[in-house]
Amino acid sequence: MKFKAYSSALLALCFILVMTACSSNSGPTQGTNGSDGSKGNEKVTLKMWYWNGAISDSTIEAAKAKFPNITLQAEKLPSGDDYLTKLRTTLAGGGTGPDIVAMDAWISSMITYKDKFVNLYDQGAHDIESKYLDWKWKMATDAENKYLIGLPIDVAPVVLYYRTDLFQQAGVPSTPEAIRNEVKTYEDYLSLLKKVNEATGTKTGTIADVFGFLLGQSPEKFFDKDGNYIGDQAAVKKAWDGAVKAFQEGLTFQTSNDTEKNAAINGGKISSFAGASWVVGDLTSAAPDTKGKWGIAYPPGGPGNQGGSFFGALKSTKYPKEAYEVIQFLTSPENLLTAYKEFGNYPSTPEIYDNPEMENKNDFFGGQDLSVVYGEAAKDVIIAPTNPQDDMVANSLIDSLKEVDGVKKDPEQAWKEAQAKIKRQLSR
Amino acid sequence: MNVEILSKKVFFHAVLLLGVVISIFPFYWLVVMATNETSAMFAFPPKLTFGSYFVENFNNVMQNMNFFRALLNTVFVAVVSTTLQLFFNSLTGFTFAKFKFPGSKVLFFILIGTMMIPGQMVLVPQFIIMKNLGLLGSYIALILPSIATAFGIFWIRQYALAIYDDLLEAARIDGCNKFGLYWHVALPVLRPALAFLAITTFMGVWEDYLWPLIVLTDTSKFTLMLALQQLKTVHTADYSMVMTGTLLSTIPLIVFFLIVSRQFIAGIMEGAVKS
Repeated sequence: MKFKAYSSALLALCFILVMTACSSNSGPTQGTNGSDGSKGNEKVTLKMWYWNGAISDSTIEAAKAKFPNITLQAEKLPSGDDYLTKLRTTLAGGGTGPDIVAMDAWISSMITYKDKFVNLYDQGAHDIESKYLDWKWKMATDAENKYLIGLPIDVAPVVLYYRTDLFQQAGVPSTPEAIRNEVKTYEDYLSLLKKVNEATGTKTGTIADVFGFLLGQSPEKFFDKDGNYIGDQAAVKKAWDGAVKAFQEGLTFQTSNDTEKNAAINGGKISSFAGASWVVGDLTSAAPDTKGKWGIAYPPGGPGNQGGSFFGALKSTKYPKEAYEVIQFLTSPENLLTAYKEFGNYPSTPEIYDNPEMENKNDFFGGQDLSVVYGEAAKDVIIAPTNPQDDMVANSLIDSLKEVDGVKKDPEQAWKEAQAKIKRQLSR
Repeated sequence: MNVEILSKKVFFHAVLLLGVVISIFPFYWLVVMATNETSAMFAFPPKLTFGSYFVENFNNVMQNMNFFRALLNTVFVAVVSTTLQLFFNSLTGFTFAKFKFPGSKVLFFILIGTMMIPGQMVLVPQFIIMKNLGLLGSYIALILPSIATAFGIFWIRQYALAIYDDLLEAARIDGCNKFGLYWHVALPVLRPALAFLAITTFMGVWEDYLWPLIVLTDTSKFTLMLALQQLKTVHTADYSMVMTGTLLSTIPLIVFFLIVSRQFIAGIMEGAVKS
């Protein structure tokens, strides 16, 4: 694991070095495998990189059928950091890169290297812009909104997962509508948690979970859009203080590993927590004993987003027009609906949120239609500017929060230490 | 038997037993998880007994990845890499140990020096070289960088230093050429060293992840470690399926280890009797 951390850091460094070295060299583009120089009606080969779960396999088959003149070579690669590592190395080293690439939420960090990607605005992406969630679309554009490097696939809105039965027992709002109307702010949520805790002895997620939840609601995070560090200012401090407050009132589950937390969820010790739409899968397998007792609601204080991907085309492709056509097809609302039905990736096209086919009644949640809440949350997501250093800052702050919980460190002291540590790292 | 000696023995065996338990436990848990449902993995306290879901998990693995294709790819790459590496490393190591030629010391120290460069550092340059050679996406790109390693050469050289010069001289007088010295005299003596090198190389190639990840793109050429990743999606995974796949992928490695380690021990014995 250590090896992996070092290797990613080193890779990132190499990436930057090689990128700067190569930027002047924009010679003839590297060819892709397959048919060369096809003109007219000859078959065009497009190579596509994606990972398991980025898009449905049946959608890929549909694309092959839809474009008979295109041979679509879809390569299903390892997901997560490994995928990013591979893409970075290929961008830095050149070589037989793909024509179409799937990209995750880290797409914003690729804007810096936008000249490696096809500007989808040049291919006519302006025409379909209105179909997609605005905040999601903006994640793939540069600051001037002149350059677009990817079309949105799915989003992962953060909502409130809660135990209907425990909320009822405590006499607090326990239907999605009541929670949305009566538990509007984080303060409302805290007082609800207090009542539930008094009545049932149950808690919410860990201090770090609460911090992440609050931070996701903020229009500002650790860096402003020019890359200046603002993680020591009001927005982040507010999230920090909110998390500390929940802890001090005894409402957070103690810092522990996932196994313990899952066991606590299954054992009915956690009555609610904030989680992204993809939590459903884990929750269902981690807490079989609580089946039917859960519900989801619009999150108090507003939703955040954790994940969701894009499809873009690399500049090295010989067929930007064809690549765009395929991407547009893969990310069309109908095909995103297929992906949602198959494995729960929530679409980024609001026009289909009211489609009857979107209905997603889940027995684990007492038959609640999950799509409704996800849809409401997805529309309201606010995205803060991102920065390659975000993870480092987040980890430092979370480590300190864990000390507040674990060794009862004074929160102000912990905050100062975390900030000092972050600034030391940033000055390197 | 003396009580003191007996209690010492008991103590040492207890320590050894503890070591065995600690090192076997992860593997044991792998088997446990491969025979259970995913929910058992989240259970607390953890489940420690075998379940009855192995066949189901096994079928899931087979459906979600082309296991035997990946296994074949891995065996091919591992066998070719290991064979080439044993040959080139022992040839070079033997030369460094037993032949004097101008610059041999400098060359050797440069070679040792390369061991200090972290592997990740050469990743991008190596990638560019492979690209310029037009080898990206092929098995050659996977095998070529590992056909000789600084550690392997160093390891063999240290071992080969112990070969008696007289032995080589005698062979030379009997009409052996330089390659003959290597083939007929050095190789048999180096067997235990080669067995160790074979095990580490084979395991290294088997488990290598980063380089195949970057070089290979064609899914049908994926090695096991890459193909196993396909069992996982971004946010969630059927962990018992992943564990089953992992278990299946380690079995050939264990078999290989058992075969070669026998060589390893036989080699040690042989050397002991001869000297």
